[in-house]
Amino acid sequence: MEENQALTNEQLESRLKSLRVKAAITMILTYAAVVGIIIMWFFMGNLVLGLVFLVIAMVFAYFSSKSSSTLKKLLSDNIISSVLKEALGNSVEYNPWGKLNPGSMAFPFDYNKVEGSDHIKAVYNGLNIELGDIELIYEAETVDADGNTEKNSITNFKGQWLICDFGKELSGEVCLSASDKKLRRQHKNDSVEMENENFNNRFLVTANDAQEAYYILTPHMMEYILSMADKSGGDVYMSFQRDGKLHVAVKTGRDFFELGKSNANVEGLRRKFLGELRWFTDMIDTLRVEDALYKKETNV
Amino acid sequence: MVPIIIILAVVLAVAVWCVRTVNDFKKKEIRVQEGLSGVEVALTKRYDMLTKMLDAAKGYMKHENELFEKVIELRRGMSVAELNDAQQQMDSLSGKLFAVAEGYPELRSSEVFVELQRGIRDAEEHLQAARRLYNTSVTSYNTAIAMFPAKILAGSRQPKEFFAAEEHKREDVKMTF
Repeated sequence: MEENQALTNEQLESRLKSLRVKAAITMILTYAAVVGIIIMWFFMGNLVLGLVFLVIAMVFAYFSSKSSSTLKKLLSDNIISSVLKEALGNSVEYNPWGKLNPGSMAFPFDYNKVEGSDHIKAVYNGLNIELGDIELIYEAETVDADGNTEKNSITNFKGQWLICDFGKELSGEVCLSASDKKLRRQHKNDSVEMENENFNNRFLVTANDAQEAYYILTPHMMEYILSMADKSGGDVYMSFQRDGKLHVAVKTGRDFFELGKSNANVEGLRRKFLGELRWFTDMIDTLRVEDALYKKETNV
Repeated sequence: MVPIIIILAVVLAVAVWCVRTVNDFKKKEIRVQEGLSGVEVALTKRYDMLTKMLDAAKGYMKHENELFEKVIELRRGMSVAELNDAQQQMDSLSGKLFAVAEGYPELRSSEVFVELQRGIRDAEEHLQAARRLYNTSVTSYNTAIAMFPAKILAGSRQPKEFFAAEEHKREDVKMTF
């Protein structure tokens, strides 16, 4: 990393821009080649030309993927690593292509396939945490009247996921989900109404034991969660589990540490990535300060 | 024929509404009772932790007999006002115990005492949660029996009591430095 940091900000920005342009162009050419395949095979019946376009599509897809990987590695080595150290301290492991395991599903998402990236493991203020991008996909095969099999896939969740210890065992699970009508109907019997009307409108609280929900969700905690949800950029889900784990998921529809549409300004990217991490570290810090949950006994 | 069917349909709808409304009252009433039971359990837990702490402290505070004589017995079936009173007495006892413990550094630093302090704090947090849950259940029940037209079916049902904050806690806190 020290060798890569020899790049100045201007050099880094220039490389990021050129890689992004390269990735975009090769992606467009891949799609164009795919359109060519469809035209040649299905409309003009020309198998040979179709095969040529297939090879072209594969080549451009390879180069597009390579550019994206190089871009990710460049971001990781030059910006992300330092941002992670600043936000989470020195005991951080980061794998840009690794994925977090959400474990037994804490939230109301149907899925049979998990994809992910930007897997972070750290010890933050004495707590073991895991953070990453997650995509929960439900794939189903349907057979139509003619016996043709069609594969459909729906992404039910795409966003960021945090798992951390909170050092306290509960008598039952407490789960907060962004509210929707279908979910409310499904959980008519085990939903818990809190005193905060605004909170009840934004979140559906479910728990085996309503008192545990009140124990965790103090009035101050509810206000805090509402303010954090406003800043999150997506729907927020939280699950306090019996084994002492806290899961926080934010359905942003995008990944961590992406260049996105920004103009690859290095300082701007650092601030953006730090902001993405701070949302989670602020959440952990507040829960500690509240002392309603975090009572980690061991010193790390 | 058609008017008869319409009348029957209206009567059926009203009957279904009546049954649903009365069942809803009953459900809410049960929630209130569950909430009250939760408060009793939380008070008992806090009481148990306090008596354990008293036992742990006895060895250090041999001369504080007056404090040890204030033992509160919790009985099931207390009214909300009686439970409130029992809680206030425990608040007072707890406060005195900690104040007296300040004068015994060996006690304050003992592991057992520290563990019990944590346990009492946890018990107090659970008690707060139980009270809030109870009050929310009471609000829901009281609102249901007061709203029109369900009020017609409420009959002799009376609003339930809330757990109220103690008077001294409603006053402004006086800060002295």
